[in-house]
Amino acid sequence: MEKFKKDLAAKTFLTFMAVIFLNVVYWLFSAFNESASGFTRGFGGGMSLALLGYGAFQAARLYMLKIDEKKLEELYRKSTDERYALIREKTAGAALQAAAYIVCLGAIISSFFSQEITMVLAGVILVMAVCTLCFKFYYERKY
Amino acid sequence: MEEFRKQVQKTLNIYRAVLIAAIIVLVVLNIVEVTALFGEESTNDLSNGFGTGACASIITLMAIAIYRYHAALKNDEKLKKLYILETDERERLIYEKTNSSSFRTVIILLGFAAMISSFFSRTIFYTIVAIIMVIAFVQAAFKFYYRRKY
Repeated sequence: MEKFKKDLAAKTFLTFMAVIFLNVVYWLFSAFNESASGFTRGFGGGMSLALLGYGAFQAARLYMLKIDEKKLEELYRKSTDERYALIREKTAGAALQAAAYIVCLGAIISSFFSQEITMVLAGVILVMAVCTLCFKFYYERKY
Repeated sequence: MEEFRKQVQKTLNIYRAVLIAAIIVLVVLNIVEVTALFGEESTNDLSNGFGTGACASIITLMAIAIYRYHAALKNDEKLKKLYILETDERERLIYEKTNSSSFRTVIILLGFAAMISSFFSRTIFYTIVAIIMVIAFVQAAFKFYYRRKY
């Protein structure tokens, strides 16, 4: 349980740091790219606000869990429940593979219409492949 | 082992279907290229090259996989080795963890890329947003499926 509390605190801290980082990056780009359109600024601003809200929500949730032991125990039971863990792992794995096939098909079809879109889709496939390889290497060494 | 044999047969049929689909796409691409040449219209070399390369890679990978699975179905020893490889707990754990972590990382990177690309190109931005939506939809579909299965 103590380890779970520490993991939860670490996850919340990392989430908050990631949100702050994304916000800083957005505001920096916004400040230096004067030719950015109103749509871009609006989208980025909305996304930044939503992410900040999410980060604040996670921090508040962690604080509430620290106060309420019963809710913490319930969350612990849910996160270690074998069925939930199995569904989570299976879903992510299958979704990544299916998404890779769909993006590949999309890249082949879009190559007839737009080079820009084809390049983006090819880039996404490459990123997926690199991420999978890196994590495979990491987990093969870990287990 | 009989259950595994049936599973291997099912996988083999899927791979055969993908191989045939890739061959059809390759043939269509080449017909389009030849037709365009006769009509003296210009073709998009990039699209043809990309499609041909992707199809050729898929055909090669499927051919290797089909050969491997077909050999396993004919030979009990090879089938047993394949069974051990695919049901080994460590291999399965690594496989599941890898896919799960990659999935989350890719989503985060795509979100980040969408935000950055919105400053430079709307086409790229909308493409990335569309990819995120497709991934979210696919994930929801699989979550629904696995919740009912388990």
